[in-house]
Amino acid sequence: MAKTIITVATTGAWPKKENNPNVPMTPSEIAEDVYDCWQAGAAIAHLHMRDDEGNGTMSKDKFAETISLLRKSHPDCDVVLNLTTSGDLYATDETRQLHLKELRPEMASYDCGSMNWMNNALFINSPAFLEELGKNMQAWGVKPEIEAFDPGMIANAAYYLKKGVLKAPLHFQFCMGCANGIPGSMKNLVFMKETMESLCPGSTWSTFGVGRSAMEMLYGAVALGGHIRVGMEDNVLYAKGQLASSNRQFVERAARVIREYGNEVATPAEAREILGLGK
Amino acid sequence: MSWGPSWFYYRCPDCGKKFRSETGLMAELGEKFDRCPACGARGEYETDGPIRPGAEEYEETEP
Repeated sequence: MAKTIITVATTGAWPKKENNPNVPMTPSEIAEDVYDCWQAGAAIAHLHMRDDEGNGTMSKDKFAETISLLRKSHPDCDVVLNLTTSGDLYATDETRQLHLKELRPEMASYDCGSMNWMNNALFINSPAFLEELGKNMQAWGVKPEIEAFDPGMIANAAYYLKKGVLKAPLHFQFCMGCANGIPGSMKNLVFMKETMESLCPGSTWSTFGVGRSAMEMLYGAVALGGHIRVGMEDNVLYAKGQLASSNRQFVERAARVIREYGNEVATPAEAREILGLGK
Repeated sequence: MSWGPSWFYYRCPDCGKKFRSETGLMAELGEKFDRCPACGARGEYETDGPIRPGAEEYEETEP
């Protein structure tokens, strides 16, 4: 039976308590939230950190504290940790990688191109940064999760694959419906998948949709053989007009859809096998 | 990193209704995107951005 991996993106860089009081913000809140989601079926946790004012930060100390709390409080939790490299638009190329060097997570995000952020800032991933990050991730044993906000970013990943900056098999995260990215529709999801298959054959993929596209991308991922990411980084609303009560709520819904379709929810061990982690 | 959904927030100049349309639904909404769901007049743009306190005062445009 096919296995579908659920990734939970608990926090992200933007939502605050004023957007949804249930967004976990502190290391303690995030660690407990990850554990809760792991119990509900999340095999991977994509982590962002916040500073004491609630703003996105790339503080390696915050990452370290969160991981330490999770591992010490819940030694039974074998969730795969996937740390962001883009948690603060004003971080330097150095601080975007320092936590990977010191903490050596199994996975980390790799945003494969630059774009405008919410029509009010730049989300810069320069060629120099991407080359350095790709090589460092290989050296440090961190699997890149290639975040593609449009098909051009898949083409960019293919470029770095040919150049040896990235190593096959790649794993993509199709980020659907973000402002200035590709809109979240089934037609576009199929196009992203086919573009990936033609440029980077043998890759695995996951997706998420923001806003109304969340459910379409959930069903699409399961039906098309991909994996799914859910959580308050991408949606603070569970349904129209309804704030999410927890990240677990999203994970439980994804697990229900996966099982109703006839697939199984992948365990962390199975996710490691599917993604080739540690190889 | 994602930045969640964003909306355009409008106020109808004719009937005063407040409404918002999700940026990611421009294609699905078409001309309805900036039209008042109550009277059909073109809304006056107020701002755009993520969900925010007070957003419930704005009717969400349906595809």
